[in-house]
Amino acid sequence: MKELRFLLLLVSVSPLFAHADIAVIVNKSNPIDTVSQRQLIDMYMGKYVAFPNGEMAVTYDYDKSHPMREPFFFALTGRNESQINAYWSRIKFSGKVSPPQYFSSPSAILKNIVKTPNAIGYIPMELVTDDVKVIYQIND
Amino acid sequence: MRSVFVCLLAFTPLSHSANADFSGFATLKAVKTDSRTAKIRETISQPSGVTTDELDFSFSSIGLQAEWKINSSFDLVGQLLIKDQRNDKINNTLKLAFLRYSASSNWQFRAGRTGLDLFLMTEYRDIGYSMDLEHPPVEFYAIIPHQNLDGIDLQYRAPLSHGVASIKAYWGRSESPLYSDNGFFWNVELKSILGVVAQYETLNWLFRANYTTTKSANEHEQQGQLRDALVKVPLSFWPTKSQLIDSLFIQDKDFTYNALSMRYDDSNWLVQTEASLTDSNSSVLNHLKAGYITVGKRFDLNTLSVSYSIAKSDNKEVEPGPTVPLPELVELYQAASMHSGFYQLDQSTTSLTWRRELSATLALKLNWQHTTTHRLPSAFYLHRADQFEEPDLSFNTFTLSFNWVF
Repeated sequence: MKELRFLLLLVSVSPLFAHADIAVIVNKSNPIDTVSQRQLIDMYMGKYVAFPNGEMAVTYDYDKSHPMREPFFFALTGRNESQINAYWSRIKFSGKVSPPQYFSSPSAILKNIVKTPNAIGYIPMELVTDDVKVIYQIND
Repeated sequence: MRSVFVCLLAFTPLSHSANADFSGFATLKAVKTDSRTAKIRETISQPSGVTTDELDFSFSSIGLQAEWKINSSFDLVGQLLIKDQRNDKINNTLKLAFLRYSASSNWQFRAGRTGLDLFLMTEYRDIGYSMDLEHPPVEFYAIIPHQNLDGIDLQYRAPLSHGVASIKAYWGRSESPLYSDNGFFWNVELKSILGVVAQYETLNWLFRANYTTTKSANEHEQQGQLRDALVKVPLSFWPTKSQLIDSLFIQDKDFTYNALSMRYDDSNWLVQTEASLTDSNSSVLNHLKAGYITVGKRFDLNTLSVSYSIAKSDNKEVEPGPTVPLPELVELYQAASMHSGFYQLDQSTTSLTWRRELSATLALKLNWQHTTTHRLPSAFYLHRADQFEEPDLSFNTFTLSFNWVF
């Protein structure tokens, strides 16, 4: 079953992601059990990249135009991907903030979150495994 | 400084991993004006301007950025910006080259060449994609060519109940080219730059205040030559020459920049405004006040925005010329006036911009702006000497640009 899930991940069919519930996940060893929407916004907009306990976070995101980005950022901020990219171009190219690490698929994010204690990422809810912890959920 | 970037480039091929990030931005821009007198440009560091009988693409640019995460606390960042430049091209192309140390989620330290955090858009004014305006308002941004700081900065951020507050202090020096009429070029060096920025932001709101002080580190050789020439003129020929000589002493003069900025963006409506006061203890620059306000509305993938910007200095007219109108003295007066009257500004612009998102990383922008100036020549622009007898004090500029990030 697990293999089938990963096959689905690798196929990465856009419409699947565009309409799926989204889980914000962290490493299982992370002591944080939940974050607020505002804390997530601060992390993913580079305003304050830390967990609620003050520990620095490493944010994982998808490459530009990946189908996961638009629904995630729209649910979080009410902004479309162009607006998010314009915002990030302001703070990234002015060198103010280190950008998230970018990945091409949910499977890559899942794999790296399992290995990285202070990482945070988001994937379709149906792809969540027992190896990670869900700390926030965005329902379609 | 260059060696930092060379090191960065040397390291990056070794790190084809999630730790290295390569990205960039580009603007392809066409500009047209109906001014017969002014050669339009967006900043005084631009070596050329567009005239009424041409369609100009020299405002285009491309930037490349490499960012390498050494470990969880240290990053190296380098950025090259390629655009129309005439002098010291390599140094001016290198926009960022710094080491960032994040001691905790609250404290961040940077050393090397960073952006100069003077006004809200100073650090990203070359990145067309990043802003809803076609370009930063000329009246507010054009007169200060410096965008980079060779030095250090320290920032503290703290999450508050509704937003994030931060304070940043920076210290260092900066240099930037300045071009004016008759082929005038000056690599303006600022030293002992000391600044502080306080900022508070939420998802929709941003407020910031900046205070920066600096000293002029050099002068143009013409200024020394003009002083020497003026000293030799008999006082009876030119009774006010001492004031003019005094205004030509630039080196070690103090300059201060104060700015208040506000931005509101709820994804439908956009309001952005800034006000600044630039001053010095030199008679060349006296209370230069500038400000602008932009209001925009988004319609799906379109943004319409209107902007009004203004700049006005309290500079008095340049001291009267020689009482004996010998041709040599008149020529000397004209040359000295160009330096002493550089910051005599009194201008406003109304601007209308349509931005259309062609994709999530590409935007088209169409801009019309109407400028009214009460004085030409203006430091903002270059000028056509052949049309100087009858300057047009009101003109329009049209801009079409494609703006990418990648």
